[in-house]
Amino acid sequence: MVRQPRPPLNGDMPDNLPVLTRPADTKMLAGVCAGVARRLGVEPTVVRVAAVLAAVFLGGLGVVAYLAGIALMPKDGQQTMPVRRWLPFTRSWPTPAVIAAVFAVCAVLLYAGGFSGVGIGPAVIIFAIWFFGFRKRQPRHSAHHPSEPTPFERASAAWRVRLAEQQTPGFENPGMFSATTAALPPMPPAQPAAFEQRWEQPYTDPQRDLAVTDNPAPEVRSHPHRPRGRWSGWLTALALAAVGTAAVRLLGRVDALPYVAAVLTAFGLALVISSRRHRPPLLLPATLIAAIATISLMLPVPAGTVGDLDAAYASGTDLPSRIAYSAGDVRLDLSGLTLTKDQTVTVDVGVGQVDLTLPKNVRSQLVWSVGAGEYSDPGTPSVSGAGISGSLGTDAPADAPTLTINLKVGIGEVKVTE
Amino acid sequence: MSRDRAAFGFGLAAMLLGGVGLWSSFGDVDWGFVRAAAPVALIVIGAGMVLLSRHHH
Repeated sequence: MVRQPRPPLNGDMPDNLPVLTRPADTKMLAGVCAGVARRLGVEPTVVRVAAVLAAVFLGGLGVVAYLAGIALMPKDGQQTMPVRRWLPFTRSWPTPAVIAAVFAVCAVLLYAGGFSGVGIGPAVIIFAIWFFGFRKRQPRHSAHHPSEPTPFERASAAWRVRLAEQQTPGFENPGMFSATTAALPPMPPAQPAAFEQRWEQPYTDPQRDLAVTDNPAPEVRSHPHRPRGRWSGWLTALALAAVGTAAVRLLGRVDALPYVAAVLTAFGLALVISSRRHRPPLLLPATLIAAIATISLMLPVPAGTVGDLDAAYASGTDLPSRIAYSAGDVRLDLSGLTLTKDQTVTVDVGVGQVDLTLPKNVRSQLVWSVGAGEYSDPGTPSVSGAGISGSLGTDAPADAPTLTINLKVGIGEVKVTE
Repeated sequence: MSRDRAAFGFGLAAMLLGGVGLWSSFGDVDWGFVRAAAPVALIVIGAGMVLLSRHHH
C-alpha cells in the first residue's frame, strides 16, 4: 500500500507543528505579520496595520506580540522555535511554558525600558492568553507509567531503523525483505531514482510489521484527566471567609465592598493553600465571581441617565440635590445662584465631562474626585491622573449661605470656572 | 511536590485584588502605585506559574 502524504492545511503551510512560520519572500521586517497573514488567509498589509494600531493604541501590545513572534515563529523550512535555539536550556520546557516566558520577558523588557504604553491591559491579555489558550493540564498521577517501551513505541523505533537503513547508500537490505525478495537480485547502490521507490514499499508483511496486539492499546484522552479535589477543602475557604467578614464587622463597616473583598481574599488564600494538593471543586469559579463583584463595587457605575445636561440654576429651590449621569457631558452654571439656607448638591458622572461654573454670591465648597482623567480650575494648574481628588472654596459675604458641591467623576474631565 | 498551578496563580491574584478592595474600604488607595504594581505582580505570578510548570516536568 502506498501512503500518500496529507495535503497541507493552508496553501504551502506545513501540516505539522509549528503551524506558524515566517516567510522570507513577503516579509517587511522579520516576517511575523506575513506569517500570521498567510495562516489567516488575508493580506499581510491588514495584519501589519492591525499590529501598528495595537502598538499605538493598545499600550504597546503590538510591539510585545511582534517580539514574541520573532522568538516563537521559526522561518520557513525550520521546525524549531528560534528561542529554543537561542536558549538551549528551554528545549526541555513544555511549549506553553516557553510561550508564556517569551511574552513575559518581552513585556518586562519593554516596561523596564520606559515604554509607558505597557500597562495592566497587555499584562492581563498575556495572562489570559496563556491560561485559556496554551495552558495544558497535566495529570498528577498518570495511570500508565511505562517502565519499558510500549508495543507501539517498539514498532515505531524499529520502523525508524529500517527507514534509516534503506536511506544508507549501498544498503542492500539483506534480511528485512528476505521473504519477498529472495528470488530477486540484490538491490543496486542507492540512486536518486530509486529513493522514492523505497519509500513506497513500507509494508511488506503486515502481520509482522504491525504486530502490536500483545497488549491492549493505551488509553487515549483528548483532555488529560485532572484529579478532583475534595469538597472538604471548602471548610478552609469558608472558615477564612468567616474570619474575614467578622473582622470587617468588628471594624464597623456596613457597606458591601469590604465584606466582598474579605471573602475574595479568603478564597484566594484557600486556593493557594489547596494548590499543594487539589483545589476543591468550584472554588476557582467562586473566586472569579467574588473578584468580579469586588471590581464592580470598587468601580461603581452611578445610576443615572446617558446624555448631556446643560442647565443653569438661579434659585436653591430649583437646584436638585443630586445630578447623576452614567455617561455624558454636564454643563452646570451656578453663577447666578442665590440661596436662603445652606444646601448640598451631589454631581455624579460615570464617564464624561463636567463644566461647572461656581456661584458668585454664595459661599461654595467644592469637594471633587476623578477616578481617571483631568481636573482644572482657575486657581490651580491642571491635574491629571488616576484617583485624583481635592477641594476648592470660594469667598463670599460672611452671612451668605454655603453651597456644598460633591462632584465625582469616574472617567473624564472636570473644568471649574468662576 | 507538584502544585495546582491554576489554583496557585489565581489564588495569589485574588489575594492581591481583595487586598486592594480592603484598602479602598479602609483608606485612600494610592492608585498610581496600584497602576504600576499591578502589571508587575501579574507578570511575577505568571513567571511563578511558568517555573512551577518547569519544575513539574
